[in-house]
Amino acid sequence: MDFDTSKNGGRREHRHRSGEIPGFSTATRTDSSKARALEDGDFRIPAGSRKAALVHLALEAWRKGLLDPKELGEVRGRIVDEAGLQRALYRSSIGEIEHVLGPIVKGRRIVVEGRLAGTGRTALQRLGAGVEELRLEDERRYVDMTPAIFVVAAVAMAVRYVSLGLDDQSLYILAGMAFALMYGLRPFFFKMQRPRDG
Amino acid sequence: MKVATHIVFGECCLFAASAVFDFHYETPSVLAAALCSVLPDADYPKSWLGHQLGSISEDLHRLFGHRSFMHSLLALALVTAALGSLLWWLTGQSATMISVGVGYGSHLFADMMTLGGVQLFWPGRAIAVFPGRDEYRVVSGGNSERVFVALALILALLFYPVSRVGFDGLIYRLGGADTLYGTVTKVTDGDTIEVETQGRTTPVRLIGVDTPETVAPDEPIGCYGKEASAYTKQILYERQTDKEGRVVREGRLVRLEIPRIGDSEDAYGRTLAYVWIDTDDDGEYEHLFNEDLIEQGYARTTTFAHTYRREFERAREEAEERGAGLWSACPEVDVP
Repeated sequence: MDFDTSKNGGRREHRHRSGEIPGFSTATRTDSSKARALEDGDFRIPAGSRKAALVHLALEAWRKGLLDPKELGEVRGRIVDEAGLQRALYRSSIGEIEHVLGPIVKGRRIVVEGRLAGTGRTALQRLGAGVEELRLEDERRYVDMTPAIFVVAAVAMAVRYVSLGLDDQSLYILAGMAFALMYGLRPFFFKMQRPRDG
Repeated sequence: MKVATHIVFGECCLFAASAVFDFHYETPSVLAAALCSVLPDADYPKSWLGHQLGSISEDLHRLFGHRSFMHSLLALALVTAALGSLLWWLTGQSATMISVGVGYGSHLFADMMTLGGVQLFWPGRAIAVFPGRDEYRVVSGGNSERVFVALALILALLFYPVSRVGFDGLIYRLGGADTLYGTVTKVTDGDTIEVETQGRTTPVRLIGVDTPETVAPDEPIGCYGKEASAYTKQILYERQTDKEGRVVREGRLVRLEIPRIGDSEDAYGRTLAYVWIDTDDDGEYEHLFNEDLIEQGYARTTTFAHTYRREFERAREEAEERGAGLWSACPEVDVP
């Protein structure tokens, strides 16, 4: 009766290191007709946050021999393997990674395996790269209704003042109780929210 | 989710809505909420309702699929408008329409809390879920559903008494009331009397009732006003005699209940109170005269919140249905 709610929808099992993936369609958010096969100069990174996207992009550039790890301050001039570079990248600031990656990714196409957060997309586009997302053709899009609670809390807060104007004591008490409940459970409500994909 | 879960949650939502949004309901509304709390599953042939509907359910499933159109805001609006209006027309109670909306909406909300979610914004394909994290949502038919139905049942049992008296009534009851015993010395109007307590005469305005005017200087005598005034005089100002027939007291001894929440006096300096009388001479003042006026059709109800508002509203509706007193004598008079 229930839908399959696994966010990856089995996409990791179908992932290949290069070329097209069965079940995926490459498309930008705005124009699906631009879908085309991966080329040599393109970068392919997994979905994730802004920092994760930049780290994976840097690792991909390093694999292709386009990035010198010693340009990163955290590497401190040593010779590092992939794991060491990844640690150094995560320790580095976003600004520094962007500074190193800028000349490498400018004008290139970056294919993201899934959905890229808005800040990550903006960061990559600011570096001059074209961003495309790989989406499952039958991917389900979820709408998290948890933030509606915050709207209710705001309404409860507003009603307290309205009830003061109306001189309605019971409404004031009811709205106060609702707002106190919402405010008390606030940390739990934040925790209830759906994590971003990736 | 199971049928029982939806019905329990639907009733829980109805009781909560009644308590919070201040509408009172009767049995048809409870039944309407129960029916509508399972109605969205008409699109699923394997559900209880799907079995009852047979080919209709199969057609709905083939056309839209499960948890799509029938589980959307669009269907909620359509069902509430169509079925709710029909029930309102049939029963004459607006609460049935609200119950349809609440019952149907409760199903959508409950299914939104399951792993699958619902296509709330159909024809959009996005699946609405609450809460967002998968691990916090209910697994249909699992232990989490049992916990969910148990919680819904507890909340329904808690909300039921509150829904009968209203949230206003609960607050006023929690606030308590002061009690005074006194003798009625004068009946000014159907809803205004004078009571002598502790050697002092106090004008008292009965809370929650409004009898037609008979003494207001700038208003004509209202339809059924004289009858209401006469009834109050007959009940509250009757001469009390002992066994030998000697007059013990001119007016009747009454118990005044003055709520602590809200104003204790109105704009004219009259004490606002409920008047309790002892009808069977057992020393217990347990008959509420304010409600008596409404039941007999001598008074309308007021709109502001007070302790017994729900009870008075129910009594008014019954009197109106029976055509008691002013409801048959002067039904064309607009309620102020």
